[in-house]
Amino acid sequence: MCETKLGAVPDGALEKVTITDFVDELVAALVTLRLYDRKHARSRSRIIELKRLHEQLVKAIPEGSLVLATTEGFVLYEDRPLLGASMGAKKLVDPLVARNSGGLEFRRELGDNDLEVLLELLGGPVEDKTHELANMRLRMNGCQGIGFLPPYQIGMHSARGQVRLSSGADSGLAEPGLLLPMQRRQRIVDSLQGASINAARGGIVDLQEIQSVAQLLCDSVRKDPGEVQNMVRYERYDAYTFGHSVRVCALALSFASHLTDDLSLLVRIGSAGLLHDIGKMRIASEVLHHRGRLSPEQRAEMERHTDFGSAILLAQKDIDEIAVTVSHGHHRNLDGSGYPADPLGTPQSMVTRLIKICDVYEALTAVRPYNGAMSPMKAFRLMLECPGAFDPGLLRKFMRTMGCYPVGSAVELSDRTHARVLQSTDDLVRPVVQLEHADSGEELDARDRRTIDLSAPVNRGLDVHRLLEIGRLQTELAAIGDSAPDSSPELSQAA
Amino acid sequence: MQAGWAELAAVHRCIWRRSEAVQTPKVAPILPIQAARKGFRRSVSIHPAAEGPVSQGSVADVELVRCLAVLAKASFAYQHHSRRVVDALATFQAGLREWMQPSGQPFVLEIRPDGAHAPSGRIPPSPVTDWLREMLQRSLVGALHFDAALTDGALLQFLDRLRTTGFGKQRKEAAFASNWPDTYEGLRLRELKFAGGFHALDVGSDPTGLTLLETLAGESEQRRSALVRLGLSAESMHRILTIERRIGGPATRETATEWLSLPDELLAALPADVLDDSKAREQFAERMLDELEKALDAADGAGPAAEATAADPLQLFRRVARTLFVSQARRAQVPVDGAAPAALPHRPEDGANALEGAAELVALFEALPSQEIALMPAAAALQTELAGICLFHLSADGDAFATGPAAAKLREVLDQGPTAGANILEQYVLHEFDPGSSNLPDAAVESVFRKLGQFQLLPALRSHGGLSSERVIRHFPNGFVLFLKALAPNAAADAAALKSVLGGLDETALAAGSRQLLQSGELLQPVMLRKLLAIGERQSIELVRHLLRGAPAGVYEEIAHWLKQLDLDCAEAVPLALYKPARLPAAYVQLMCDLVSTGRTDPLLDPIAGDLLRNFIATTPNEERTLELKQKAILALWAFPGPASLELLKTQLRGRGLLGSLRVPRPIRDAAVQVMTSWKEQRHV
Repeated sequence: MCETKLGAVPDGALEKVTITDFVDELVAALVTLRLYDRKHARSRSRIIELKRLHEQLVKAIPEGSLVLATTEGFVLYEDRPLLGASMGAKKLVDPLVARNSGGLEFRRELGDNDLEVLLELLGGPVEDKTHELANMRLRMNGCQGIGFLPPYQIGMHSARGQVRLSSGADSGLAEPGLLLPMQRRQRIVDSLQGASINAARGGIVDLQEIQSVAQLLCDSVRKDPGEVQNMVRYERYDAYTFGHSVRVCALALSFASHLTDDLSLLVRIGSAGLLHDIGKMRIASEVLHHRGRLSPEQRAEMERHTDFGSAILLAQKDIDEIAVTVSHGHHRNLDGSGYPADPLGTPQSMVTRLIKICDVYEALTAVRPYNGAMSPMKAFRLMLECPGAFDPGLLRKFMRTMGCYPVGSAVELSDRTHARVLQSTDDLVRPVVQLEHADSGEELDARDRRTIDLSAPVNRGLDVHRLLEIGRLQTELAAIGDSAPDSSPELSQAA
Repeated sequence: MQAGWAELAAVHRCIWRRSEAVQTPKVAPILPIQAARKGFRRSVSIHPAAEGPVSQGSVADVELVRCLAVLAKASFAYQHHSRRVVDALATFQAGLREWMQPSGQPFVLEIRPDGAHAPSGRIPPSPVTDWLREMLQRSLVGALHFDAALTDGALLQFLDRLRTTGFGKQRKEAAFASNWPDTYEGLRLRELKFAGGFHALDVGSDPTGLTLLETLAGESEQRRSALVRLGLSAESMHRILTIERRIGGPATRETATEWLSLPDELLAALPADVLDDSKAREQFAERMLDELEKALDAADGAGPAAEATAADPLQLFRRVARTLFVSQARRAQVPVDGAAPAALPHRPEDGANALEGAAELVALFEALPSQEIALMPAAAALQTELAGICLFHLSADGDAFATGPAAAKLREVLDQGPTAGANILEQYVLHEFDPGSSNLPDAAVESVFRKLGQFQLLPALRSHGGLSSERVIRHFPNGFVLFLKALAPNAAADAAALKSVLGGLDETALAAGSRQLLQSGELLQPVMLRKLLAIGERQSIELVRHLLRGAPAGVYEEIAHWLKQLDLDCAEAVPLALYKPARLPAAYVQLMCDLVSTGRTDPLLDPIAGDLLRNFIATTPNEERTLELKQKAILALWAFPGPASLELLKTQLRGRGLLGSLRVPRPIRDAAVQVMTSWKEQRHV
């Protein structure tokens, strides 16, 4: 197991350090050292945290080194893919691939500067084309505790006495069903990370890349609205700030595709959704990642992210005006309240209003590591209780499109049968459902799975009793599993 | 091989049909669907676990186990000599001694699938005892026997080892023997064994449990270890074995390419971080089993091709496992009635019944207006919104990062046409004219205009911002300086606009306005004054005259400079050419302005102008470089006759010293003679 619980507290609230934490921190440190000098306080704190995690992890390992392998875009530990860590680890995997290396070995005792040397090497230009040369460079710089491993091969790490090969893991990695979605996620994260880093540096954001990611998401949403939402629901993935932006983007695209067929406009909306929080890159991390109620000063600082966002985007050549307006105005209410203050009450574009709705809805219904999700119904209630905040006509359309029971959700009907929502209707709480389980709990055969339009007068006696689960389950599973790369243009493009 | 699987599938179909009819099956494992499973999980095809009545542990047992757990936690966190550990150890030892006092029997703590068991019965679940149970389970400890010989040292030694084995990475090859190589005085450990649960006793008389026992009797240690490692509930383990029986399991080892051992495959397929999380592990395993059963069902009900697929269940399972984690990386939380984790903050309203207020929600929804949505923003509206954002950044002080790009973008917007961004810009201009007309902060407006000037964007106000002549006249002096700033120096239209403004101001407005302008002082800056005079030319003189009434010295200098440039054709204006502007008296400049404005010479002007001329003639030596100016001054003196002037000219003709008259330059002498002759003829003298 790659989890260790340390620093016990008598009442049971134990600190939990996982290998995924370590990989996340490694990637974060890599990103930080690309932004800041190694002596900068932020870089120092990252490295200290990384060292701490390393120490705690090796304590949990009885013997040997800590080995992280990489292959096919995945990060592996004990020859197993790390699902959450792999999603955001392109920044780590790419430099290793460029050096023809299959992973990193962290010895139990690290030197004082080992991690700094490694991070600088990984973050810098690739001068060594092989892992041997990279190792030589590490040694030349005084790094003795970390090494680049040769290209990943099955059983390679068994010889090192670290892990043994598990039969199932290797066989799945190269398969397109797993590889392509993972690469797609990595690309989205990588693009957003790149844009954010450049934004924080005051550099140029690759708008073309953002647009192509938006195009990718647009294709996915049009093909299957639930897939993208599920794609970013993994908890570890949500640890990244980018998860929210991707979900808002997907929500906006999903909603907007009901309002327009203009593909170019959809891509513009998608780009705006991806970039709407880019100003947060200029917010101090201690404020941005603060858990709990913000102090007035912290809140004021946080509220500046809209100013920063529009400033960053205005500085970009050929920036789409929609992205600028969305970034600036997505926290401003329809009645002029909100922030940033606008004494003139400049009217907002419909796209800004749309993104605002999606932003709030996502924030309310998202699964957070530190907070439970809110049901769509509760979220709608809250949104309706703020009459001046949203465009009422647009909110109506949004509620109508999403429904209180989103497509793919599992619900229990008033006759105790279980069903899955297929389609929303004009009646907010009466979607079209397909029965899946009988009232006894027995799963129904395919021929018995009736489709029921609860909004039809004949079905008035049947209600949705409760929402069991949000999102899509088995339907996407089969679709993604069966999608070969040549049969799905957008997947091929992503690959 | 295919034939074998097809036969099995046919048998299964047959069994399934019969099971639906709730008949007693001849094949033991396949039995009716279990009802009332939690959540939305697919039911399994086995008997519900028929657990016999389990007695609850006595209060003393529960307390003793709790003390042990507290001691374990304390020893994990603190040094052995710390107060917490010492106290916890003493409490546990005292409790143990008290417990063993009557009978002398050892105290046994057993780990079973349904929880920890003490001699008197099951220990009710609680966070602390569950934690201890999890620790022991992870360390492959099935039971602990405490007897009277237990020493403090042995117990602490055991807990140290428990920490090593229970925390962190649990090695796949971990075994009880390797985990617990040592012996502890007074404490005996029993290995955790899987036998339809973790202990044979918990199976009771359940026929399914007995079948499990039988099934596992001949299985390998690796397989048992995998089941233990998965740490699934007894229900899930039953399900695994049922599915294995369904697909044939060991019976088809000879026919299938590779036998599917579900525990091993599950263990191999789960990602490391999922495997690491006990909740996620159970959830993902259940989902995999769901999918596998679904795939098997599909194969059963489909044609020969599907059956052929099902004939290799190993590949079928691996295909399911391969695709599961990406499409269902994490199942969404059940938001309505799924309780948030106890240790985390949660929104209390999430626990509310979803139906509560549904009707009210629908009513609120219906009250929302239904309208057509045009998503594509109109170009003009978008430009206006963008201009507003640019002006927002220009109105904020201190963020130089945004100023340049905002100004550049505003220029782009304004270049696109006269209407783009006009409305927003006009709001700022209107505020300048009438500060009470908008909510804009004065500082913001001032900052915007300052930065617009800095980036040469002020001229756009004339074409886009409503900075018209009429408004300037109406609101004078408000906006006049801004208007002046927005004028292009060499544009004829702008000059005409300024002249029309200056011409449109009556005396009253000028008098009142100039006082305000004097107070603000902005117009009195040399640059502004110069621009006013340069563009407004003589039209600006009225305003200038008013300004001069309270203006500082520098203003006079500028105006004198301007008067000089007017090249006025009168004798009173000659001093302007002779003196530097700073050396001219304010009264002279003032009177000269009056002269330019009215065309009439003030009686006070002549003496001043004459004095200036006489002073210049008297103090200027007859040198080559000043000869022309002096001659000009002498000729201009003609307009100011009088004894002083006559005496001065005579003095100039006499020169200095003996034969000085011979050294007077000819131009000076001629000019003086000419002026004196003229005076004589006109009898001025």
